[in-house]
Amino acid sequence: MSQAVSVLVAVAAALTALALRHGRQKAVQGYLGGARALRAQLPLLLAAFALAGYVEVLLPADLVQAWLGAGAGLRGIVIGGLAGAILPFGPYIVFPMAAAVRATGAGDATLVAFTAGWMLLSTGRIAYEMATFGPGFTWRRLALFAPAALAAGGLALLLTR
Amino acid sequence: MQAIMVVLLSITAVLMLIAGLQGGVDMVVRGLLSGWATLRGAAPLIILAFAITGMMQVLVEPATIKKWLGRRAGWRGIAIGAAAGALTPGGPYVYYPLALAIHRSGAGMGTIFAYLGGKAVWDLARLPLEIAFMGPGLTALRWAATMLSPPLLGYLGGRWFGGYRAPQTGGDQP
Repeated sequence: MSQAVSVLVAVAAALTALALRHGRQKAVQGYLGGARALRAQLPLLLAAFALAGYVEVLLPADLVQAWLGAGAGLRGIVIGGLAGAILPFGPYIVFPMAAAVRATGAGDATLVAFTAGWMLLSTGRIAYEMATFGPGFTWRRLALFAPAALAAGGLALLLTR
Repeated sequence: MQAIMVVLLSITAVLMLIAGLQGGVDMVVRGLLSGWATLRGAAPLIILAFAITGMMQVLVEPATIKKWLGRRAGWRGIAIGAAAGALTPGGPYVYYPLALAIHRSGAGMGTIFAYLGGKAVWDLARLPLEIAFMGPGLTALRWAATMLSPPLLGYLGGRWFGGYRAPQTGGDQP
């Protein structure tokens, strides 16, 4: 975790240096924007971590290992991909949930299918998509992106064997 | 935002009830403590991730991306579309109106699909959070498994759905 903090501090410092090249105001604007977003998302974050806590406590480890563990193969990929696809939430909710499922014994390929399913198919963006591009576009995109999510899980399975 | 909050709280309440029925007050408290421990450990990462997202939002402006992508087509459009998707910060309320504006500027469907694919799996603003929660090893595996998706989705989307035109109404400009 401390390694991840160091990486993030370095990225934030590099972006701050870039912003400072456009003037001090730009850097201040960036940090204020981040603080405003954090404040707005805070209630969601608290609820999401409570949910992740219950997922970790309630999910029976042996059941997770049998259905989603390293040996679950294609079944784990399909379940993981579908579970990710139906989640309408943002990354601040989905990643803690994935970490909680991982802690109970889910396999790496299943988790890749889960995150890829959420990234490529998440239901949370469909309303915006239909409002801008129309429902016809949404069906076409889902038909194209769904196999990509499953393929990501399959590829992860091959890479981890 | 409010609808998502209601959904989240409802699911949490149901899980809390199940915990109560399964293990009494002890299990209810254990769930909350488990969530709190994860949140406490992740708090510095979350604060930093928000700072990075805020900084990217002022550095990469929608107008720059629109200018960058307008009227691009073919493999060049697909490559630049995927890269622009990776650099676009913010949620669907930002990138869908932007994608529509790019489409209306003359960019082909291949570019649009590559842009949405790049935003989905190459999103750089989301990367720190992914590393923080999933760890560098699993994040690298996920990247390896989805690395080629945006250009492929752009190519196939352009080939199969190139004739699709978005409705003339709808979609506020960012």
